[in-house]
Amino acid sequence: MTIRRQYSLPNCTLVLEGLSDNPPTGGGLIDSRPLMTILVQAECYFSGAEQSLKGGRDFFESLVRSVSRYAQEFLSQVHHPKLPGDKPELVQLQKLPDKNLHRLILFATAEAIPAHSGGGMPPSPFAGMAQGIAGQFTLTTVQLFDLVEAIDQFLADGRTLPDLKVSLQPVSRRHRKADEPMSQRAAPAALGITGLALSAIAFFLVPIPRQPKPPTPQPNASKTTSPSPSPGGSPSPSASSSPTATAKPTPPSASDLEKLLSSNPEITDATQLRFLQRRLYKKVDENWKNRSQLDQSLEYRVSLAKDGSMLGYQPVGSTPAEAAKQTPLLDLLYIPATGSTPNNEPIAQFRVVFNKKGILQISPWRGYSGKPSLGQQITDSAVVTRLKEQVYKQIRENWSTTPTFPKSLVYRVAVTEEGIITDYEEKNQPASDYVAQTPLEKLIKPEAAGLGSKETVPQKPLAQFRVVFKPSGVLEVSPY
Amino acid sequence: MPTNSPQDQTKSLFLDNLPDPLISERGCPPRTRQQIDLILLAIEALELGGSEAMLFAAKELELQNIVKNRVALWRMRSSNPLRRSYTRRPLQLEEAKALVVIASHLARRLTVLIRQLLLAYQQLNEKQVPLENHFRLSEYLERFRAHFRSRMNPRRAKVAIYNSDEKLNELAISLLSQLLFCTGTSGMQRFWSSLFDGEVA
Repeated sequence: MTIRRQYSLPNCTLVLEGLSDNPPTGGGLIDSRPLMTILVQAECYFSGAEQSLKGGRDFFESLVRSVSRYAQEFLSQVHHPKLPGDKPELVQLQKLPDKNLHRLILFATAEAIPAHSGGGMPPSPFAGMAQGIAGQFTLTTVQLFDLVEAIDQFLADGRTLPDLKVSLQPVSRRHRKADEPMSQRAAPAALGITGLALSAIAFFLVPIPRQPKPPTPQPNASKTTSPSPSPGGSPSPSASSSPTATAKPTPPSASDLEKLLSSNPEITDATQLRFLQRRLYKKVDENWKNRSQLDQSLEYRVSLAKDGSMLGYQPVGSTPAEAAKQTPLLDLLYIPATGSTPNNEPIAQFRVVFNKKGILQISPWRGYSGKPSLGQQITDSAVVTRLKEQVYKQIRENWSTTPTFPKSLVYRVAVTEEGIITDYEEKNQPASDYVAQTPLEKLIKPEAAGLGSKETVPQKPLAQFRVVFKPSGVLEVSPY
Repeated sequence: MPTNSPQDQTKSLFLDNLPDPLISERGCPPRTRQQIDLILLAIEALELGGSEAMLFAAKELELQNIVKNRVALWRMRSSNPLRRSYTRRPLQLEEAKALVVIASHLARRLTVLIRQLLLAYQQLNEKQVPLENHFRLSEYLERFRAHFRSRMNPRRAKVAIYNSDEKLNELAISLLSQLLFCTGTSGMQRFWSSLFDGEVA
């Protein structure tokens, strides 16, 4: 009994005819799909082609192998090479210049297609090699896919020639062709080397930075007359307090500074540094006039005492010593009372950059060792809700100017339990540009949180709110 | 691929259908990551809301422990070195498999459309008619070009070569053909295997 299996796709039909070598044993159910173990003839029809492709087992095996391999080549665009031991395939597929067309070639064999009549014998193996072309088809990609699919359906069919299998294996990277021509691949490398050379030249031209002289609590720079020591004799950490009568401050010597730095502990607590940084920024930013007059960026190492007073500054890198006149640093310098001696007051160091574009940048000299916090927080939700109302009311009542800013101004605002605004921080650029249009500066009372001349970190728990001033005149207050 | 297994094994079965290629342990090679993302890009160009469909498919195929959410999907796709958002994050084999399973699943649903577009392309090509004359095809190409240009980093040499509409159309058609192969009975395995051609030891 001949078994016929057909796999039909819109553009390709594969018909297999064969036999079973283990006929159904009597007594069992009649197998509706007997197992085909012997292939007599395989035939493949393509839509639109008059000729069909047919042959025996060798033809079919070759078809399965070649199509499978070509499909993978088509998907990956990586050519699968023939291994030295492989016999030439009876069926071969080739790429055509048009990427969407494929040529399928059937080579003729010495032996004709075995014409069998039901003897149950497998077709004898081909003795001859492929000679000449017996058939040729040009397939579109969709036709090729239908051929692949017909074969895959056959392979998935466990009742038809289960011994015929194909393994899908990626080819080794030895067979990978370069993606791009050599010239293209060399270009990035050449570019990189040129870039390296250029940057080497550029760095060669940059002056070697001077050893940063340590920041200085600068009492010998004293205009002894001007600064009035803050009441209560706030700490004067000057190392070399030898106030001279010179009118002009001179940069401290490096050794003085080192002495100070080695004798005084450094503030490393991130929260404290952050508060000091903001205070310093505000002070310097307010006092920095003639921003457009810098012809180079100026960089300083600035030391602050715990209470935020500036003990000293030191030009860094190529910053000329006399350039300090162009900055507000000198005015901000805190000159301790005559004779105050260095004590063990901790100091904080910052890098202050006066950018020649008029931008002020301040960061901790050694960076942050952790994540700065905002100090103690009020978390009781009932209190926060009440404070939110109070903050909204306070700001709303004091915000009477018509907004002329183009974008929303976003601030973080800190409030005590009594509803007193003690601090605010700009959270976007417009917020710092247009802060004068908000009533915040007028409203804050840092003393209420224990922030004062001595303390820079709030001493009381605060609630934080996000306050947004919108160009439309809308005010938004939400928990931060 | 007939699977009669109980539901709870589905996940591993989908992934077990795809063998582990012999690659180094650092995750998939760049070409693999690139191809997977591009094939997904082609799906997005075929189907509006394609990325939603991918997330939904992940759920249907019980792959949501790998493709957890939109961000996870985006991060995996950003392992494509051509992307603007390329993160140098490795793509693990399991993640690559999940994406290939999802891509094949979606491709199968789109079989009819994919065939139509490829047939239309072939006919227009034979008759030398501009591709714009076919509404659905030109829509796909246009969307693909827009997606590609907005997401791929033009400063990369491999992106810079797609500097014209024609070259991007060619890429779009080539991906469409690959998608067609993904729709087949063993399409997923064939596509998977092709991703590692020239990459294995």
